[in-house]
Amino acid sequence: MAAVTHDQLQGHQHGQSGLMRWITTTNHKDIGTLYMFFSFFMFLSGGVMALTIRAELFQPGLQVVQPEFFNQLTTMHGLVMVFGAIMPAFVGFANWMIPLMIGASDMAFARMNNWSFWLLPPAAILLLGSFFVPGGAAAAGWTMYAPLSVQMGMGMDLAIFAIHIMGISSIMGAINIVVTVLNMRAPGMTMMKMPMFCWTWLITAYLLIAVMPVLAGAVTMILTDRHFGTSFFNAAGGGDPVMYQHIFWFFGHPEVYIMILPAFGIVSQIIPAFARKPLFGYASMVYAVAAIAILSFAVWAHHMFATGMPAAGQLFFMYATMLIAVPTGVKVFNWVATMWRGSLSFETPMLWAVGFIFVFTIGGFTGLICAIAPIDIQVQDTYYVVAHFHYVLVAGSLFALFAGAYYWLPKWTGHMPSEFLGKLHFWCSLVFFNITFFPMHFLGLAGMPRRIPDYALQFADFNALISIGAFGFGLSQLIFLVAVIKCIRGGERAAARSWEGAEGLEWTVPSPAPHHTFEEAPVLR
Amino acid sequence: MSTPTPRPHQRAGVWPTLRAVLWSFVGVRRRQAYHDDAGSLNPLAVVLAGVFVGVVFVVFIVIVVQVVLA
Ligand code: HEM
Ligand SMILES: [Cu+2]
Repeated sequence: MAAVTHDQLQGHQHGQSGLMRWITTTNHKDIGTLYMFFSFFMFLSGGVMALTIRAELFQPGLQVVQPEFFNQLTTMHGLVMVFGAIMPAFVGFANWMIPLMIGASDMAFARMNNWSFWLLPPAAILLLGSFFVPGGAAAAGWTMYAPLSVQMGMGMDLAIFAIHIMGISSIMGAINIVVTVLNMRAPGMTMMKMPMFCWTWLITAYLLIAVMPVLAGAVTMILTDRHFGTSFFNAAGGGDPVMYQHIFWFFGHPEVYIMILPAFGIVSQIIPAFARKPLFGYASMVYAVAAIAILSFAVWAHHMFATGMPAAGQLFFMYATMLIAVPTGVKVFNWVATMWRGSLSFETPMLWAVGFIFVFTIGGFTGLICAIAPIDIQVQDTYYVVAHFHYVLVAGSLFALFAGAYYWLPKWTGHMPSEFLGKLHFWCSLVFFNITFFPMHFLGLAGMPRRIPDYALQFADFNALISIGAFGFGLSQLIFLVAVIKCIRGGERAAARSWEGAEGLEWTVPSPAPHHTFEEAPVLR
Repeated sequence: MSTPTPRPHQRAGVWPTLRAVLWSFVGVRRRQAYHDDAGSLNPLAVVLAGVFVGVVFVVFIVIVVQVVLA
């Protein structure tokens, strides 16, 4: 890692070297790097599961895996991607960038930061190791609905413990971010001067603190139902399986905002830099993000229209969901207005950011369609929903992560990432992404259920196409790996301000950022 | 570091706080109004107002739903 070599240039003395240095580090940049490598590893693991799923679905009938294993794959793919890849990647960005952006020397609780990260590998071992226990991994879907989750083998227990551990890690990470943003800003860095990324993460951190305990409670209730004789979700004992869905989605809907708000933050840094204009409607953005955080607690049952709700409930959650889409739409408007009449240039980070706006918007619209109760009764549990959430999660969160990675790689490594590889990665990803996920809308509307290893013959052609697209998308991600490795090892030297239009404190320190920055608080005009 | 703009230190009242929160639900706010807010609003009051307006929002939709179903 460039940060390491640079350290020696700086002549800093560190007690530890080699592996111990990474295990004992309390440096926000080291920990950010660890988070990102961890999440990329989990991204590849989840990707292998996805490709195995797509290999099975290439043709109707069973060829590659057995149905039981197929269910384990869909479940673990979701859990690994959500809790292992997307969330830790954003925390990695927060660790690296928030102190640099607000002029702080480190995160507020540096030791707790170390622990937040090092909880994750044990959780990952529990999750991935559960494939090898009797009965295999959890197979109840990433949502872990009762009664299935009450019945599975010990893979389910391992998943529950993994979620407990990752939840503790997230909560500690979130507390760290809140305290850092509120207390460690350089003099003159008022809240209203803060980069958008810090605002979105501040609000995300509050969401995390609010809902991770809810998830922990839900899975703990499953655990006690499984082993300690309670009947929270067991109808035979007087419990209610639908209550599990309410608790899960009370966590789950804010969770989708946890996975998208930091993405909004990253895109809001990049668009102004490459449009060479300040972010249009900075104030509106801050307000909208805050509003989304509150309103996201009032829409959870739009995931449950098919469970048999009274009409009043269906209408309530339908109206609430559509209204919360307003502040989300305002953001898309703001990004477009930022680009309007700017002097645009399309380096790799900007391509990803513009691609994000385009494809995320499609996902937002299909979300609105799912939110219409009578339509959702039809499309619930079909590939239409799979298409929706991959448009918001892959084309939303993941594309924003790539945008951010290409944008800040010069700051992390001291070298400019290869424009050729970055653009190749972008265009391959964009094309294959759409080949993979756009036809899923049609499959869903035609009635193909999700989470099944086999399907009726009339779905065969689209599924073959989707599987080809999926392998293309998966392989395209290796371009990113190559681009990052090349960037770490060498390339054009990056200036302190690596992109012409980039603004913010992080661009005032050298590239790569030295191990210790802002030991003296910077002076803001 | 000295901030050139003098920070008004009188605290904003209930109505400006509510107005800021209400605008946030639409997601639009004029920059100048935002600067005034940032200078005068009490963060705790904003959070309370936010939760309060959130409750009002819920009650409002419940009423609309009742009207629609009536
Ligand atoms: C305009 C904003 C959005 C609206 C109106 C919306 C609406 C919905 C609705 C109604 C469903 C339930 C569909 C069903 O199960 O039948 C759903 C599912 C889902 N949404 Fe969204 N959504 C929006 C944005 C997002 C974002 C930003 C994300 C994540 C980054 C997201 C992630 C998901 C996921 C993961 C599911 C499926 C959960 C599952 O069943 O496994 N959505 N969305
Ligand atoms: Cu939702």
